[in-house]
Amino acid sequence: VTADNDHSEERQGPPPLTGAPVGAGVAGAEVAVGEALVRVEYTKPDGRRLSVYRRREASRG
Amino acid sequence: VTERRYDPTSGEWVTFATDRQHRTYKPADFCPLCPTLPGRPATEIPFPSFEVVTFDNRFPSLSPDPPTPDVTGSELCPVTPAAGRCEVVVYSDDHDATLADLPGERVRMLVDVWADRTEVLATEAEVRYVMPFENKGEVVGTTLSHPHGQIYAYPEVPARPAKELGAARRHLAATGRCVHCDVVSAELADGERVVAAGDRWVAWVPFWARFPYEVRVAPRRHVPDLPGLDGAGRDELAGMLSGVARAYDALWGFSLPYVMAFHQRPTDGGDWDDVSHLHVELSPPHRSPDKLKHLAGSELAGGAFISDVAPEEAAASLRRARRKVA
Repeated sequence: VTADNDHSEERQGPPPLTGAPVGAGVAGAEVAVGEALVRVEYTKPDGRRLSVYRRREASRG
Repeated sequence: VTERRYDPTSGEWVTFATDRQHRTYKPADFCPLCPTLPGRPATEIPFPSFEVVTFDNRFPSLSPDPPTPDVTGSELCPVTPAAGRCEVVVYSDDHDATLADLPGERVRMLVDVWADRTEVLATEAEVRYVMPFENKGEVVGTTLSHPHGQIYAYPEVPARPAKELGAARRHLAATGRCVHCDVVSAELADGERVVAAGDRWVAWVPFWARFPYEVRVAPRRHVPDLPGLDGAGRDELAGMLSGVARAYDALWGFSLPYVMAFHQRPTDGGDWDDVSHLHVELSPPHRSPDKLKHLAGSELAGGAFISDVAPEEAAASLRRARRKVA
């Protein structure tokens, strides 16, 4: 393993999300995006933002 | 070193982000953009399946809370923190898919996501320009093969869009019209360089194409930015992008690398509506199946592109390729 191909940090991967939403609203709250989509925003433990998009029909299930 | 330094000899900013030297580079046995599966290492996306996900780049060039610059600027060469946002857009949980492989409804969803991210990022105080783009293929610098693009939210209008907007403003002053509206009309009237034309969008090889198989995609009617597209316009854009991506792959029978970027209205509150005409630029680096168009002396040092393929021939080839996969 050399410095160039040592991806041990990447293999371990980042820590999981907290599930805490960004801004006001409850965890898992959906934000409507147009007529067809919803967006759910999370904050990763390191403070980075993650947004999950899915079709509105799928969110009802 | 994470900062922006100004070049007074060109009038352009250069961003330094030396931490990116350590970013994930072609990992052999782990993909950080795949879903996190039970019993497997966590990836960037902690769900077992997903449709489209965006997240802040782990190795950003621009960030909302940038560190203080390492060097002190001067009146001649100002230095500013590298403020902005760099996001990753993951198109699918299928590691081996490409934009060309995605079903139409997923590409349509991506159009909505690009528009939504534009609106979200535009609300941030430091952001003046939002540019969704995709680097596809190792030859254009892709370090992860999972289908994804990026969005850079810049603290100023980057050089190339700024140059285009300047030309558009001069054309507007001289003619009273939008230059892209005029170009789209001219290309439709001529037809020789058109690759695909719908009711609302046109894809063509530019008369002045810098790259041999460059394609520009733009709406027929004047729309300044992604959020300004209506549902029908978004539907057709999705189909147009799929069609061009599939034509590229059919051109020589392999998955063609490209850089794809959206140019749209700056988000600095300026008066851009009449001069910004939303468009997509697709720039494949290949000039033949086994040869690349390199940016060498004239292009890199002179900024003067020299192309090896006539745009009219390239458009004819892409139309034939498109018919094969239609």
